[in-house]
Amino acid sequence: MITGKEQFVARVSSCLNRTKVPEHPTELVRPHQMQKNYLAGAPHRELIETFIANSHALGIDVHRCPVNDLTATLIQVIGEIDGPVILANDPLLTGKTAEILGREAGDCHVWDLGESRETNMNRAERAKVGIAVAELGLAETGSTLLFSHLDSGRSITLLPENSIIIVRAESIKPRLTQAMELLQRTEILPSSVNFISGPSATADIELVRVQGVHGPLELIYIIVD
Amino acid sequence: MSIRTGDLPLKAQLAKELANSNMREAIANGQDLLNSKRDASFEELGDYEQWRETAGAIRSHVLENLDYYLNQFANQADAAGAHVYFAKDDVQATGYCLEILQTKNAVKAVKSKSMVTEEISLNEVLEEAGIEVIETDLGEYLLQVDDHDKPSHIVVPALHKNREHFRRILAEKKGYTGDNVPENITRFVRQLIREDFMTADVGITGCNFAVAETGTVTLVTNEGNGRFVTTAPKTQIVLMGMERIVPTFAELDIMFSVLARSAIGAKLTSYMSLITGPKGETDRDGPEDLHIIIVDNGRSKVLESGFREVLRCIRCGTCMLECPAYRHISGHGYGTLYPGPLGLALVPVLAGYEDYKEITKICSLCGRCNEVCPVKVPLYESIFEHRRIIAEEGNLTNVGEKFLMGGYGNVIGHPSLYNLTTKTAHFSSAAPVVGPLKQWSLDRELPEIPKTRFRDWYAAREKKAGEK
Amino acid sequence: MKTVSFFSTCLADTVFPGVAKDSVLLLEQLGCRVVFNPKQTCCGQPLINSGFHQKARKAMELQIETLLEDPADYVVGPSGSCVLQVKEYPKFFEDRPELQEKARQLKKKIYELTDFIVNVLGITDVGASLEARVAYHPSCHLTRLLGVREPPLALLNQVKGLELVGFKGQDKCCGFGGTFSVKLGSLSGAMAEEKVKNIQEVGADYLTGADAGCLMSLHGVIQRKQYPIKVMHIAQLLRGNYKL
Repeated sequence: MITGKEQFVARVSSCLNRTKVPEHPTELVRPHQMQKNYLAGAPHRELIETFIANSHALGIDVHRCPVNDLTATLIQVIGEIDGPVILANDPLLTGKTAEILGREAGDCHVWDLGESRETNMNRAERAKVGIAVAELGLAETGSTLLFSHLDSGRSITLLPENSIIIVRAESIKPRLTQAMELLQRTEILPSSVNFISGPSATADIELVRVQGVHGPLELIYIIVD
Repeated sequence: MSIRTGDLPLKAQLAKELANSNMREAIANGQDLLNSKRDASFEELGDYEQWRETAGAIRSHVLENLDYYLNQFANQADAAGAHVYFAKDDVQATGYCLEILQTKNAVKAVKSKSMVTEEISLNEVLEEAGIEVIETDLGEYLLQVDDHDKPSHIVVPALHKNREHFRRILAEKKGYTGDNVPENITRFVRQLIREDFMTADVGITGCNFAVAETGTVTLVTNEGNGRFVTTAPKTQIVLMGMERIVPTFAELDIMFSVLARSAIGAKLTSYMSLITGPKGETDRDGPEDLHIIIVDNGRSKVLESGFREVLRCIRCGTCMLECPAYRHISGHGYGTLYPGPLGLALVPVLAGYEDYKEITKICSLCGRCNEVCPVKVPLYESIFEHRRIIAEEGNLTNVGEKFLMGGYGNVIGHPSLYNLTTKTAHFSSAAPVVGPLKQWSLDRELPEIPKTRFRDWYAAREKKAGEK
Repeated sequence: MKTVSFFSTCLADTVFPGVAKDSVLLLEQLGCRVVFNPKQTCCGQPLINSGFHQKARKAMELQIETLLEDPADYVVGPSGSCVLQVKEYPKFFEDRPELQEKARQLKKKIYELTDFIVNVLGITDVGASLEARVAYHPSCHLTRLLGVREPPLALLNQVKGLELVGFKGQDKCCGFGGTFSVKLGSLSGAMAEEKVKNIQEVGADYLTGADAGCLMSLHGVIQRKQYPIKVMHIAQLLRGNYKL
């Protein structure tokens, strides 16, 4: 539903010295395309190394394992964090993995569309670890791109104090530019898409960086090959 | 809050701020730290001029086609399931907001920081209607607790305060018993308002950029509160200035890339949230309703004026961090919500010369702001032109100044008058130190005016040479 | 031999004649013939920066005619901000094409002093010497707006025995800003005080620069604080005179 558009936009048109909204915008001429240069043509190995180095610089812990060892790696990482676990309902995480983690952590739930909003969110709020799977990793900024929808609630990587995000090695791209290209190709955008580039942080008090504010205190990546 | 944040006349406001040595130390340190981080960040990125030119071209293009993109954005957002409202001014914008809240019988709202909501005095309107509004950005929350103190910078709102001050007000108002270590204060606030996030009826945010192609609104944040506010409450309201648009995700790439580096010297913020429509039907979190209120409130006046390019601004706060005047008076010194070079360039057109002409004096025309703006807003030229409009158009300048300036123009317009006036100038050393001389002498000695001018020396030398 | 029509600037003419005098003597020392047209007055900056463009038109026209009147290869002035102002003149005379054309000619001919010496005369060593720690203040209009950054440094680096000392916040505005210094004197003073504090902290004996306005403000603070820092324009320093 749209309210008040015609009058408002007509005012804007008149400020631009015209009487109606043009059919097409004028051409946007970009003076440079420097964003395309970053790690252009770099071998995949370099993308992954850069991703790891930049993630470390942001205070993000990074593990790496073959996909078959994911469950074992998760157990090891979770072992160091004591408390309930919440998982996205992703093929990489469900089935056997969820079962095993459940036994290890005790309290482990998968984001469940069969349960209510309250149940799912309360589980996420009680959880000490939230685990989700990224669409992409971005080397320049140590970022991961997450689609939060359906089986991967927004709360999973927001409410628990610890966030584990799983990144497929082959999905690591140079920078934002490639991620935006993916978004442009995505036919139906999820209602929530997040770029995550670190644990939550602030510098509002005397510009002293504090890690962990309202979002997760710790962020861990697991790169799977 | 509105645009005006301080009621004192200019000189009194400046005097007040200049006397605040805690603030001056905090701001100076803040500027130095953030400026060096920004420099390092752009050094690392490389090709800074190219990024600026590209970002500036994108913003300029949007403004040139703003009617087209607003129309496209609204249609796309609507198609994605959002309610879109166009508000011509603060009254209409807060009116829509209140209506939405009252329809939901909302009693509590959690807010993620938004300058436009402060501009339209949203909190005041909601609180008057009995709705509890909680600012969730740490800096804004602390200011809210501190008797609704005003932000002194558009990105780091509590830049003018120090940790001890925050410890004290939290102890006084919220029963905090810990020390003044920032981490401990932060943990306390996290635990304090977590319940509010979970139980609020409505989440209210601003919008860094709105993507016209898809009807997507975006939030660039670090603390997690932006995500929380758009995840837990069942209703979400987004307020955005009408100029905050990018055409597609490809342009969002460029804007995101320069914003965090400019604002805080980081490559990106911890979270960049792209929100398209309310939650999907089967999603188990996120808002059931998404309302987007697009605000004019004077921006169309700027668009149709000769100052259109000032609307390029992406609210990174760099200009004020680099401004040597802001350094000594903070945002409070300007008495306006948008301070520093941005304020000087924008506010007189946005909100009127009548009420805001005084701030155009707070500038030594050093030109630093132009050098550092990531979207190349012509800040210097705008301030310069505002001064001309104030001096020459309408009844904006006082008779005394007009007279003095006219007199000066007359003297320097006629060699004989100039000669006469400057010949006797050295007598002014005996003049009483009032007016402009007094202003000068507050912190400095006045120069002594010598008996002989350069031209006298030159003429004497010519004469001597002629005699030879 | 190059002929220079000298643009004294009203500040150097009336308040700091040593700056103008030493600029002329320096140019002559470096082999130029210098003429000075006494009909010149002031570039009009104080009016123009305050927004009173119309009231400055008479003075602008006077400067255009006067500075072009005598046959000369160049026009040179010892101030970045004043030279910059003159270069802006064409913008003000859209309505007077003939005058605007003259303003354009003047724009091509006029140089700031250090820029002229280094980039036109091609000289960096003027034979000066000074055993001292010297701080250089890079005026905003000279550097950011006129684009003259290297020449003063090139000249100072060739002064025998001179040690150029950097200081914190060196390229920050000193707060003079012309009428800003008398309109918002306390804010202007605060900016000047911080700059002087930083200069004093590095133990500079001398402070120099290429704009007398800035130096006047900083010198005023130094005198108020009674710091033993000598202040002079770069033209004076290069001529061996160490008093503004």
